[in-house]
Amino acid sequence: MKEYIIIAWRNILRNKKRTLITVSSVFFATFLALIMRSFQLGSYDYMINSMIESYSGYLTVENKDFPDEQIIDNSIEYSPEIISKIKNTENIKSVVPRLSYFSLASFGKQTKGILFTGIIPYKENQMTKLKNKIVKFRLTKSALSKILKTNLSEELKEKLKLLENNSYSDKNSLLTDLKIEKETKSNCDKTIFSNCEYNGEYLSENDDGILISDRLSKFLKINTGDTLVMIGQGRHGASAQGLFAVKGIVKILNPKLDNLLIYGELKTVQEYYSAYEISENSEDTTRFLSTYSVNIINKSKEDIELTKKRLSEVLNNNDIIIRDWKQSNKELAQQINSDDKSGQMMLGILYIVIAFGLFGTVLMMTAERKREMGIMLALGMKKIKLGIITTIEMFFIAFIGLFFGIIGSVPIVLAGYYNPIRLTGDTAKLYEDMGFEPIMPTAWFGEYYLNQVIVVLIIVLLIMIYPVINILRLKVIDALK
Amino acid sequence: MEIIKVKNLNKIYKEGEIEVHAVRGIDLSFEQGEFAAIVGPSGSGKTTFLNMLGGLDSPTSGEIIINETNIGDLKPSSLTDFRMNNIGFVFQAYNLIPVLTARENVEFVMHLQGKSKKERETRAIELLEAVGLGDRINSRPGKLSGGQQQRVAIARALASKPKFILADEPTANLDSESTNNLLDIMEKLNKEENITFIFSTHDNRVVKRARRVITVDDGKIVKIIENEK
Repeated sequence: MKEYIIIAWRNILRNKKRTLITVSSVFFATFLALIMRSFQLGSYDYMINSMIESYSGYLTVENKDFPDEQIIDNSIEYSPEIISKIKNTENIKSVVPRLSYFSLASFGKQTKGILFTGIIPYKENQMTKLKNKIVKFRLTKSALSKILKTNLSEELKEKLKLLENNSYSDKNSLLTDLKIEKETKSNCDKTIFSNCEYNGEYLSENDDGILISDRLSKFLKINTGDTLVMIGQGRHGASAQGLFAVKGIVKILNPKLDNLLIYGELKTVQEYYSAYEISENSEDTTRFLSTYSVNIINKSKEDIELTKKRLSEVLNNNDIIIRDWKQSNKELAQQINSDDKSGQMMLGILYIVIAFGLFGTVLMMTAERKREMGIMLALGMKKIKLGIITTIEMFFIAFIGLFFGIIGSVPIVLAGYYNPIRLTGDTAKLYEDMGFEPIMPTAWFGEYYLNQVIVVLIIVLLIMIYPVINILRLKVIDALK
Repeated sequence: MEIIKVKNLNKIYKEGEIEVHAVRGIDLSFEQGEFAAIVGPSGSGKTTFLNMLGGLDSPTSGEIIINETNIGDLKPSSLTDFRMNNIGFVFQAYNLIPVLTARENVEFVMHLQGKSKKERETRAIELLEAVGLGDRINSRPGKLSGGQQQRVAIARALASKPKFILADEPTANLDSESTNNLLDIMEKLNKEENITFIFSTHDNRVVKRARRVITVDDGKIVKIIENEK
C-alpha cells in the first residue's frame, strides 16, 4: 500500500498547476460553505437564544386547550407541586410560571396592544437574567446634547450622534457600540455615562409596578416613574383594567418582543386578569397561569423529545400538554426551517462546484495517463489496484483542499463568534421587521465541520466511480497505442 | 528447449465494414536462449504478432503456448499474473513510470510479485549495475537520456526473472552509440544468462546481431534466416 500512496502522491505533484487549481476549488468551496453555514447556524442559535432560551423556554407546560385557543380561559392551575415535579425531572435546568395575555396599554396619546406577562421576579431572573436587562443608560436627545458639550473627540461625538435614542443595560455594550479602546474607557465615566444614566429597578416580591420593554417604551413615550393605563379582558369575561407605575425599562434581545412585553409581578397580573378562583367551601384561592416555561440542559432534538416524554409521564395529567419550542413558536421554527433550506441549496451549489472541479481533474488525469496505465497493466498490475491509486490521488487533493478550507475558516468563525457582525441600514431594518436583532454571529465549531468533511469525501467517492469503471474497462492494447 | 509455440495464429481487425488481416496463419516456435528479430515493413504485422506473444492482444484464431500453457485459455486476471511472471517487455518509447526513480521502476514489477523490500532493492541495484546505470539509480526518467531510459527498461524487464523478453523496436529512438551499448548488454545477458530475447525491429544494427531473423510481410512469415554467430 505504501508504494501506491507514494505513486499517488508523486502523481499529484506531477502537474502542480492543475493540482493547485483543483485543490483551490475544494478549498474555496469548503471555506465558503463553512463560513456560510457558520453564520447561518450562529444566527439560528442567536434567534433561539433571544427568543427561546431568554423568554419562552424550550418546553412549555400548558392547559391542553391552550395551543388551539390561546385565551385566558384556557389557563393552567398554578401549583408549586407541578413546579416541583417539573424541576425534579431529568435534564431540567429551570422552570418559571408565567401568566401572559394581550391587553391594551396607553400613555398620553399613544396606545398599543401589548403582552402583559406576570412573573415571579426572582425565579424569572434565575432563568432569563431579566434583572440584567434593565436599562441603565439611554442616549436621549437631552442626554446627547449634554454629552456633545463635553470635551470628547469629534470622532466620538459623531459616533454618539448615530446612537441617539439607543438604550443600554451596561457600560460595556455602549462602549462596544462606540468601538472605544480600553485605554480611553476611563474618560467616559464623566463625559458619557454620567450624562445618560437612566433610572430603573427590578420588580420585587408583591410589587405592583411594571417593567416595560425598551422599544415599547419609546413607542408609548413613557419613562420610569410614569403611570401606564391598561385595559383588557380577564378570565371568564371579567373586565381587566389598571394603572401601573413603570419601575424600569428592560431591553429585550428579540426586537418583536421588545416592542410588546410588559412584565408585572405574577400576583399583580393574576389580579388584573382575574386569573384566580376562590373555593366555595374553603378560603383557598386557586390561581392560574398561561404556562410553565421550562429550560433544559441538553438541547438536541432527541433530548427535547425525551424530556417531553419524561415530563408527560411525571405530570400524568390528560388536561396538561407539553410542547417544545418548535410547536409553541411555529413562526420562528418555520423561519429557521425555510432559511435553513435555502442555505442548504447554496451549500448544494458549492458542492456541485467541488464535484465538477474534481471530476474535470480526474477526467484529464485518466485521459492523459492512459498509456502509462496501459504500461502498468502490461507489467502485471491489477486494474483494481490502478483504480485504488487514482482514488488515493483524488483523496489527497480533497484532503488538502479540505484541510486548508477548514484552517482558513477558523479565524473568521472565531471573529464572528466573539465579535458578531452588526448589520446597519436597510438590512438591519429588514432583520428588525422580521423580529430579529440585526446581528450576525457565527456558530461555534461543531457537527457542521464534520458534515463538510463527510460530504466532500462522499463527493470524491462518487466521482471516482466513472474513472474506476473506465480503468476496469481499459484494454491494455488500446491503452498502449 | 522450446519455450514458445505458435500455431496457425490469425488476427483480423475490423475497421468499420472492412476487415484487416494483420496476422495470417503464423506457425512458429522459439527455443530457450534465442536472440531473434522479427523484421518487416511498417504495417506488416510484426508488432501485432509480438503483442499477441506477450498476451497483450488476443488472436482471432490460433494458439500461443508458452511453457505448455495455452495463454488463450487464461482468464484476464490469470493472464495478467502469467505475463508478470513469465514475460518481460521493452517498448519503443521506454515507457518508464515517470514519477518513479530508476530503482523504483525496476522494483515495480517485483513489488507486484510480492517480493520483500530487501530482495527488491538488492536485485534492482544489481540489474541497474548490470546495464551500466549503477550511478543513476535514484534518477527519475526525466533526468535520463533515451539510451539510459531504455537500459532501465531492460533492467525492469529482467526484474521479474521472465522466461523471455519481448522488445518492440527497442532501438528506434536511440543514436548509434546508445544502440550499440544496448545491444551489447542484451547480447551479454543472452549469452551469459541464457535469457531469450525476441525483437520486432527494422533496425539493421539489431538484425545483424540477431541469430535468427524472421521476416514478416502482409501478416505472413515470408523468410527465416539463421545467422551464424
